[in-house]
Amino acid sequence: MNGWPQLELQPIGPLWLEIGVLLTTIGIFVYSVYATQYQPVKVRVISAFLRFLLLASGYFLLHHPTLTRQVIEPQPSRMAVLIDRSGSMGAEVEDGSSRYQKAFDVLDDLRAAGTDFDVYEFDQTVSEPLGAVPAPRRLSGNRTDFYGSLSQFLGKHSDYTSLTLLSDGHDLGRFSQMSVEDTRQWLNRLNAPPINTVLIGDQLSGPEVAIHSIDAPAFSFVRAPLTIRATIIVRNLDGFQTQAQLLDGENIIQIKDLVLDDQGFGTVEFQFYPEQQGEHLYTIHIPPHHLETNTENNSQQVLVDIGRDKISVLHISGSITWDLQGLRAMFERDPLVDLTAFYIMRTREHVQIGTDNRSIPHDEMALVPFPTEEIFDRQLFGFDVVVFQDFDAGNYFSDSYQARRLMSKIKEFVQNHHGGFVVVGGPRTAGGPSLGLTPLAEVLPLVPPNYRTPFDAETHDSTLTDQGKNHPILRLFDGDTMKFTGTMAGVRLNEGAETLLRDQGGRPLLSVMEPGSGRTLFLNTSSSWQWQRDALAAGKTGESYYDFWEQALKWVIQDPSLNQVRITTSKTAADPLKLDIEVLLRQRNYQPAATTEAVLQVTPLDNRGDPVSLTFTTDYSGRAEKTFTAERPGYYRLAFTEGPWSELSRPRTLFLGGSQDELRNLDLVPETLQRLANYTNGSFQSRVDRFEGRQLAMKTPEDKHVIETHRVKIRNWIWSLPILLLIASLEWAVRRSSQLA
Amino acid sequence: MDRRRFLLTGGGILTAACLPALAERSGAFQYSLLRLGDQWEERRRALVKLSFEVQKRCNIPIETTPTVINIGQIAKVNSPFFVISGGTAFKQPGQGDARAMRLVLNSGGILLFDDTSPDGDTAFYQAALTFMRKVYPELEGPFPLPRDHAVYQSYYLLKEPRGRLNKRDYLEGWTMGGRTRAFFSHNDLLGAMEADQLGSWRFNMEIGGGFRRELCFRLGINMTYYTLTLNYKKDRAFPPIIERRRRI
Repeated sequence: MNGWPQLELQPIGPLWLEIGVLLTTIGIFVYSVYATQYQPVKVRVISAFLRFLLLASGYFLLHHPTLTRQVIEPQPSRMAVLIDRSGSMGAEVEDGSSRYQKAFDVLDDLRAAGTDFDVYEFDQTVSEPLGAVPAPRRLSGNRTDFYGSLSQFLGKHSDYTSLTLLSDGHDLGRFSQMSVEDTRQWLNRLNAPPINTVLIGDQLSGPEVAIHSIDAPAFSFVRAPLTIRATIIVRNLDGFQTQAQLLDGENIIQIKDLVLDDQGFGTVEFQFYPEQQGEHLYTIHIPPHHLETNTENNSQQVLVDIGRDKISVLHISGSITWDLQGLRAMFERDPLVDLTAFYIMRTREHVQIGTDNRSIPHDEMALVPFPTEEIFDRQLFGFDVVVFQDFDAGNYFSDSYQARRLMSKIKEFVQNHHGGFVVVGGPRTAGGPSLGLTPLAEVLPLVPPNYRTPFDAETHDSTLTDQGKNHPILRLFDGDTMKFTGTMAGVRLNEGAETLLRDQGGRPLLSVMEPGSGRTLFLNTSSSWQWQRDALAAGKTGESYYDFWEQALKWVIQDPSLNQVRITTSKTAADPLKLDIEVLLRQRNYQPAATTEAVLQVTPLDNRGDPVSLTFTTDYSGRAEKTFTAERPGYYRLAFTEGPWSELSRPRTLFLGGSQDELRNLDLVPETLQRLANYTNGSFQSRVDRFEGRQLAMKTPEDKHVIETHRVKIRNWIWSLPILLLIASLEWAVRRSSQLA
Repeated sequence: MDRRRFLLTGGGILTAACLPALAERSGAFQYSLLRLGDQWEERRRALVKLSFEVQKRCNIPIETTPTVINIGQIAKVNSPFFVISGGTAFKQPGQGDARAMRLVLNSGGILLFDDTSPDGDTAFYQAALTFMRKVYPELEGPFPLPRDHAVYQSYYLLKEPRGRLNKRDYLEGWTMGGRTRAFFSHNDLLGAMEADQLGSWRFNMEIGGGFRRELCFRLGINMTYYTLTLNYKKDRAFPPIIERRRRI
C-alpha cells in the first residue's frame, strides 16, 4: 500500500536562532503592512497577503522541507514463545508437576487460540527453536538472566512481532538491578516488540514465614570468621517472634533471635569459625508457624567450600637448641605456615649478671613473660596445630588448677575441634612435670610415666613398623640414615595409638593417634635436626628432614590429600548435572586397596529422589572412576555406606546444576514480568489456570515492511524559485496597478 | 712408667678421643673455630668465655669448649656456628669446600668473620669477600645490617655493635631468603672477650671499659640466639613491645 506523503522539516539551528529568524520575519511583515498605510484598503490587503505569502515561503524553505512517501508491504504477524528453563522452574506446583512442565501446558492453550508461534527456551542464554512439537527436557539448573537472554534473542531475531515469556520471574542477571530509565533505553535500543508475560507458579496467600535471601561467600577458610546473613520475610502474622537456626548438616551451630521491622522483614547474621576443610552445606531454618500452609520456604541451604589459606601453627619450645632451629626454619620457609611462636629463652636458673658485675635490668632485654592464659585459653582454637618441642609445660602454670584447666582445653581442642597436637620429647620434657599426669595423657600417642622420666642419651637406629611402612608421614623417610639420639625412657603406647617407628629394642620412637576429631603425634627425640646434619655429612642435601616434618604437619592438620580414602569430583559448565567421580582407596595402614569392590552412595538432599548406589572396582593402585548424572539440580551427598571405607572417609556434599542461587528462594517474582510487559506495551497474566491465549494473539500486531521510500526536497524543486518570483511579480503588479510602484 | 701412671695416661687419652665424638651427638650448641689464616687461634679463649656466659645467662644447652676444625670438616660438624678470626688474608677454600659451606649455611649454619686488624688494613676483609663470593657467587654484599635486624634484639636490646676496636658502628652481613647467613664484625668482637685462664682480660678496650666489654658479650649472645631462633623476635607479637622498650 502506498502511504500519503509526509512533510519533514528540520530546524534552522539552535532555538535562539530559530526565534530570532521568526521575530525578524514577523518584524519585516509588520513593517511592510505599516508602510502601506496610505494605500487603499483593497490594495493594502492584497499586498499584505502576497507579502505574507512571500515571507512565509522563505521562512518555510529555510527549514529544508522534504516530502517523504513510503511504499509499505504488510507482513503476517509472528510470535515467539520463550520458556524459562532455569533452576527455579524445577519447583513443584500444586498438582505435583514442575513450573517448567506447567509452562508447556500454556503452549497448548496458545495453540488452541490459533496463534502461530515458535518456541525457544532460555536461562542465561537462549536455545535454538525447539521444533514443531516441543516437549519438556531435563533442567540443568542454570541461572536466569533476562537481560542477557533477551539481548541475545532480539539481536538475532528481529522479525517477530511479539514475544511471550513464560517464567516465574526469578532473575539473577542485570535486569533486576536496572533503573526504570535504563530499562526503557535498553528496550528501545533492542527495538523490542510487545513482550507478553505469563507468570508460572502458585501464588500463595495467608500467613507466611519465608527466607527471602541468604548472603554467604562461596569460599571461606578454616578457622577464619565466616559470616552468613539471612533475610527473612513474615507476612500476615502480627507480633510473630521466633528464632533462626544455622545448621551444618544436622548439627545446630548457632541460634539467633529474629527481629522484624514494620514491613515484616528481618535479618539475622551468623558468624562462626569453620574447623574442617571441605564442602559444608549450611542450612538456615525458621521453625514454621502453625498457620503456615507452605513450610518449604522456611529453610534454605547454602554450600560453602572451606579451604585452607594458611596452616596456623603454635610452636612452643622449652629450650633453645638446634632442634628448635631446624623446625623453626622449616616453618619459616613454608609460605603456607602462619607461625605463632613462644620459646623459653631463659628460666629462673639463668642469672642476668653482666661481665661488669652489674645486674642486667629487664628493659635491656627483648623478653616477654610467657603468656599462658592468652595462648592456651583465648587464642587456642584459632590454631590448626600446637607443637610442644621439648617443652616442660607443667613448669609454666601458676598453680595446679590452672594447669589442669588449660591442659583440658588443649585436650578439647584436639578431641572436639579437629586440632592437631605434636609433641617432640626431649630432656626438658623428661625432666619437667610429667605429661602423663595431665589431661593430655588421654590424647597423647605415647604417655610418659607418672614420675620424672629417665632420659636415655644413647643413639638408636630406627625400624619402620608395619603401620609405618605405608604411612604418609614416612613416605619420604629414609629409615637407613635416621638415627635417634636421646629418647624418653619408660613411655607407653596409648590405647588406639599406632607406632610408626621403633628402636631395635621395640621401644616406640614415633607414634600417632586420632583421638576424637583431631590427630596427635609424639616424636620421642629432640634430635631430628641431626638427620639433616647426618645427610650433609653423607654428601646429601638434607631435604628429607624437611620432607618428614612437612608430611607430619599435613597429616596432623588432616590435609585431605593424605587421607586413606579420597573422593575427587569434577563437573563441566556444559553439562552441570554430570559428575565425574574419582576414588582412591587405601587400607587403614595406607596400603592401596587394589581390586577392591566398594559402593558409593549418592543421595539427593531434597528428599525428592532415592539414593543411587555406584559400585566400582579399584585398580592395582586403589583408584577407580565413575560417572553419575543427576535427574535434577540440587544438593547431593556422596558417602561410602559400608565396609571400612565409611569409617575412613567423610561424606562429601556438593551441588549439581548450574547455579545454587536459583534454588535458594523459589518464591514467584511477578514484578519482573510486569515491568517487561509494561515497558513494551505487552500484557501480563498472573494466573495460568485462567490463561487467555486469545488475548495474547490479539496483542500481536501486524508487521509492516517498508519496501521503498521517496524523498523530495522542496528547496531543490525546480518550481520553487519560479513560484516565489511569480508571487513577488504579482505583488509588484498590484502596487503598479494602483500607481504606487 | 709405672702401672698407675700408665692407666691414668691411657684413660686420659681415651677420654680425650671420645669426648668430641660424644659432643657431636649430644645436641648441645658449640662454637666451631675454623683453622684458617695465620691468626686463627689468637682469640680462642674468647669463645670459651662466651660459651660460659651463654651457659650462665641463657636457656641454651652448650658445650663450654669450642671445637676447632679444618675447612674440610664443616659438613661433619653438628653445631654449625663457624668463626673465622684474624687480621690478615687467609687461604681460600677449594670448590668442594665452598659447596659444602654453602650447603651447611643453607641448612641453618652461620659464619662469623671477626676482623682483628687495625683500621686501614683491609686484607682480612678482602679475603672474607672472596670467600663468600666462592660460597654464594650470586649473592651481592656484604651490606650493613639495619638497626632493626633481629640480631640486635634476639635476646638483649642493642643499639649498635661493639668490639675491642671502634672501627665501624655497624655489622655487615650476607642475607638471603630473610636469613643472614654470615656476619662480618670490623671491631674485633672476640678481642673484647679474650681472657686468660684466670679470667683476666687479655686486651684493653680501645674506648670505654667494663660496660662496653659487656655489650660485646651481649652481641655475641644475640648472635647465638639469632642462629638458633632465626627471626623469632620479628614475629608479630614482639615488635611493638621491643619498640616501646627502645623508646624508654
